[in-house]
Amino acid sequence: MSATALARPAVDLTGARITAAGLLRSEWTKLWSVRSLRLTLATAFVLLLGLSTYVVVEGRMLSGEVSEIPFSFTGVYPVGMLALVVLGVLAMAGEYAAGTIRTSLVAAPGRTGVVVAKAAVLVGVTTALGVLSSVLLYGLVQVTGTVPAAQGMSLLDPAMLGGVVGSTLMLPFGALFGVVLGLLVRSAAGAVTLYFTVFQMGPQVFPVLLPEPLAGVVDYMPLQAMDVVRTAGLSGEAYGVGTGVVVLAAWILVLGGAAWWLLRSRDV
Amino acid sequence: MIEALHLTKRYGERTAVDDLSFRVRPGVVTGFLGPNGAGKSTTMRMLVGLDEPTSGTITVAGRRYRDLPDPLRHVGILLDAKAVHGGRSAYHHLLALARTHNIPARRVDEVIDLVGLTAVAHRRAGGFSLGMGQRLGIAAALLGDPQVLVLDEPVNGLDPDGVLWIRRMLADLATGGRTVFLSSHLMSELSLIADDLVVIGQGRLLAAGTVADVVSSVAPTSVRVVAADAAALATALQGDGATVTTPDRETLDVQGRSAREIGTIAGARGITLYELTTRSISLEEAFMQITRDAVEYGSPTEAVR
Repeated sequence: MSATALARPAVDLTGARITAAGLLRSEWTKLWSVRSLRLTLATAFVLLLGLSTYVVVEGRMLSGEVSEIPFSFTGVYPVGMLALVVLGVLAMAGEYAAGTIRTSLVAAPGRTGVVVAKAAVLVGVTTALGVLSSVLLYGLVQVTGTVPAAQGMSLLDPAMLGGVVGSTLMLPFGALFGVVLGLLVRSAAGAVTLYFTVFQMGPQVFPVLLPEPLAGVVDYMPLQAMDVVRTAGLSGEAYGVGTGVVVLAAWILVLGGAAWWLLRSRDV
Repeated sequence: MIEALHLTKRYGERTAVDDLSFRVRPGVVTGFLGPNGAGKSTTMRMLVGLDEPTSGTITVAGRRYRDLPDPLRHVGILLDAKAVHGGRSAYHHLLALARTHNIPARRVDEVIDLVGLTAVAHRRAGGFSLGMGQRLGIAAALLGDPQVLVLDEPVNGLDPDGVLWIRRMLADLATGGRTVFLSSHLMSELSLIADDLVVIGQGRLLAAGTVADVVSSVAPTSVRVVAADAAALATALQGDGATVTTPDRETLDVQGRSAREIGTIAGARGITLYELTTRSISLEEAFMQITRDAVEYGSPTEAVR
């Protein structure tokens, strides 16, 4: 090391500044450079593909019934979604746990860009892997012929496509929901606990606790709306796919908005 | 240049930084001195937008840090060396940082080489020692080749090798014309590298200026004289803004005249001198005097240790 080396970098840095593309590439690097994040992502899709393959090959749902729904091979996607919620939480809240959030926000003091880029990278990666999984499983269903309802049906057939797209999009939704919870709570343990107690177990517990007229509110919890969307409206909920999508978007907007407001206004 | 103007930060009832105004000149090392809990870290965090001032401003080259389109090109900051994901390598930590600004990956290799971490660049940072973590933090600060470097207690907890390394590094950076602003609660540490000082206590500015200015503002240099006819000498030394105090019959403490002048005056009057000593206060003593009333935690002697 010498004074001249410090005074003059050999690499030309003129024009270096924060850009949206730069923030995306930065978050891409962050996602792939930590083993626990790679493992969680891999776990989500290995679980999803493994369990789905089992269901397809056996030709029956985990409940033991033979399904008459063409897209029934996506029935175990909620398990993968769950792992992706954890991935989103780890990716976001992990920055607070390790203290890297300060490094990240010093590099991009606008704050919003870092979080939007992180969410975008996770949504992009999980969407791509989700689509790939769905296409592979659809192919497997056609080869094995164990889901009679799906036999010979095009992937683009309305009876097939709605459920497959809905189920597939639940995967990035889970990752995004995890990012939002992680940002809101700023602690991985706290966010995972919040998710399991309120959103995963809540729908079973709340109806008991709430007075009768309010119990229906539970139908509008994210997992319930998710069931509507991923089953293309075949689940028992009182509303259709369109409403389900609006409900899910509203959850992200409200919780994400609150988290964003806190991100902007709180000291780091 | 860093400029704070009436900077104030309150956390509920507690005032961490209280109407603080100062300037940090480019091209010199400025020490930011104060006892633990004086508000040094809070001030630095406000500089880079991690904390929002309750009132007042702190700017870099006249602009708020948050408004800079390329902040890493202007300011490099080392706040907390352990702010690295333990599962990520030093290389990828820096690469993720570089990519936000579209800084080429070759610059990452360059700063890693600069701080001497090449051999461990691809190891998980979780296994780094404090000294290695500090080097990584400095690599991150240098990444954008910034004009201003801000370091919060950079030698805290380092072994002597690490301390020496940082000291040399900062001297090199200042020689290269950069603005270096580093905090410490140790006067002895700063006195070795700082040209200027900003001294705070309980969030308030206590003193600012060059090291010599700050020290002499506390207690000007004085000369102790022991003479045969102290009373006559005292009379002769009066005037020209000089002040003379007489601790005992033979002894004078003189401020405002040099030892050379005193000797000349005594010689001209034929007064015999037994002792003639220039006494200048040590930096450590100066710091203790400045911060005596502004120590928040522990006993004063503990805080200036």
